[in-house]
Amino acid sequence: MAERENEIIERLITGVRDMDEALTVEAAEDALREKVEPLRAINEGLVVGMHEAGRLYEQEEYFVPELLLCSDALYAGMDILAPHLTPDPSRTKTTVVMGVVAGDTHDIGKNLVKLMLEVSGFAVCDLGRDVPLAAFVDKVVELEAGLLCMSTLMSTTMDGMGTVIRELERKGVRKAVKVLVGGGPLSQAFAERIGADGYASNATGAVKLARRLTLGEAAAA
Amino acid sequence: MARDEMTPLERAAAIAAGKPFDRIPFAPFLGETASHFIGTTMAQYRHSAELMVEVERVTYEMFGQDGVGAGPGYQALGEALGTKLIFPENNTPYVGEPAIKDWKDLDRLEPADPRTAGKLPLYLEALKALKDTMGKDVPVGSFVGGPLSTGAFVRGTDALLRDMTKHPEKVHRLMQLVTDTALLYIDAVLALGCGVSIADPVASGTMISAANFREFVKPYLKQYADRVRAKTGGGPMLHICGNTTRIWRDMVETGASTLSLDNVVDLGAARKQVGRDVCLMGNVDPVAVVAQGTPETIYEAVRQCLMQACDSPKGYVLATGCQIPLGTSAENIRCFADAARTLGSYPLDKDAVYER
Repeated sequence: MAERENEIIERLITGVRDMDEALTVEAAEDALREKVEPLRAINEGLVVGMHEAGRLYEQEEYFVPELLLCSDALYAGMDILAPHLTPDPSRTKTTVVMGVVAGDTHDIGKNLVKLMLEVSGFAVCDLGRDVPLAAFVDKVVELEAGLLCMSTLMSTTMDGMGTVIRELERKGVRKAVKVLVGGGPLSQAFAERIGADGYASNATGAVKLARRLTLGEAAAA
Repeated sequence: MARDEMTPLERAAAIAAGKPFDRIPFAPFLGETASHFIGTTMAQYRHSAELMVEVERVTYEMFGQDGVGAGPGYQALGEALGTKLIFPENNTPYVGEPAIKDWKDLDRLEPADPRTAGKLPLYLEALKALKDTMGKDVPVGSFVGGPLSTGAFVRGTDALLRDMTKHPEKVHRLMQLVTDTALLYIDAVLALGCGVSIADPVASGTMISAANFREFVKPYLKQYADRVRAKTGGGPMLHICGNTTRIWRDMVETGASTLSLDNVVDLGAARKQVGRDVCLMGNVDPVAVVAQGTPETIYEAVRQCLMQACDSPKGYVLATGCQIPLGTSAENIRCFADAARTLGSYPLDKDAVYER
């Protein structure tokens, strides 16, 4: 029995890592049929596959097209398994509000970070792209979000992030939320200058940082 | 106001002939992002040949850079093939509705005629006016979109990137379509006596693998370069922002004569690897240094570039790694230009450049 389960888990990992949507879907359906715990299938199968894809990206074996296809396979597997998850009331997920800053529509990076945050156990509210600055603040307040992630690829829209942070201060909620920023023209220096809590240069770094900021050093390891 | 001893054309001719010249050529990437200097917006710039010309006239007056021009890039080329663009008042245009929503749409498309399609006629009009009014002093050139970035503006970037794996034969057909369109535009530019530069940011190693570059981009860039070379004897300038470290050799093999590099790559490494084959351009950080820097950091960044590439065998043009953002102060761009004129003055003050 365990052998059969492990074989299915292996196929879930491979399906995602190898951008094989058909294999992933087949393995997900087998997982349901063989009564593999859906949470186990997701965390030890799909998520591990995505982390391996992330490693291949860091090693410059995988690039953006490959990550997009891996994420397609992962979402296809999730579509099958997620409806069968039993919600765990004792587990409180950190809510994340995220989006691409007003004036910018480059969202591939943001979408990759969103995917990785979701598989890491965050509850993500994605405001999309070209997001008005006030919308970030309003949603953080409305959802009592623990994390705000803002992204832009354009130097002309970067300063909007600083405006959002100042508005969070003005509303008295700055201390209740961690702010993480990313995107091509950004830098650690820029993040510090505008008062953000962190900056990441790619999706895998963003998730590590998000976990460290919201869970503390030990949990993020 | 004579700042230089030679005009940019005189300087370019001297360099080409191996004769003495006054200073290193420099190219701050401006164009639509210099709209604020004439009190207009980027959206208005993109709809007016007059404004395109005025930006060049005014910035050349202010800085004396070594080239002027106007070009559709990949956005207006995609538009000419049927994509509906959105023009934010002060940002570069982006895809509203791609011309190809379903691959069946590809069958309906023909290469766009630059004399009539989209806003391509505006760019040709601007180039003609620039050539007439400024052409005796300074080279006039046009940025045309490379095949992959233009393809992204026809199909949508997300979809195109996935299609490289899922529908490679369709991607090849699209690459040929945009190339055929670009070639028609290139013919028109060359007929005006203007130069050709290619911009293809989606093709960098920041986005795709070197293998994908060789498969889907290189053969088409070669068509662009072959056309330019057939009519002028030299290749185009090729600008791919992002991390191009793994594809420099391939970029040279497309037939480009000049490679323009982003500030995220190592200019010295590029000089070592391909400096014997092509002229190099780059790579001061336009955002952190030119837009946000001080006179000291701008000077130092220029010095670093000169130190790495001033003696590059096939030549070197000091440039920014990519476009200088809208709203950058005239003062900061002047610092960049001044550094080129002092540190870059020939014969080079080696002690100043290498800080001995």
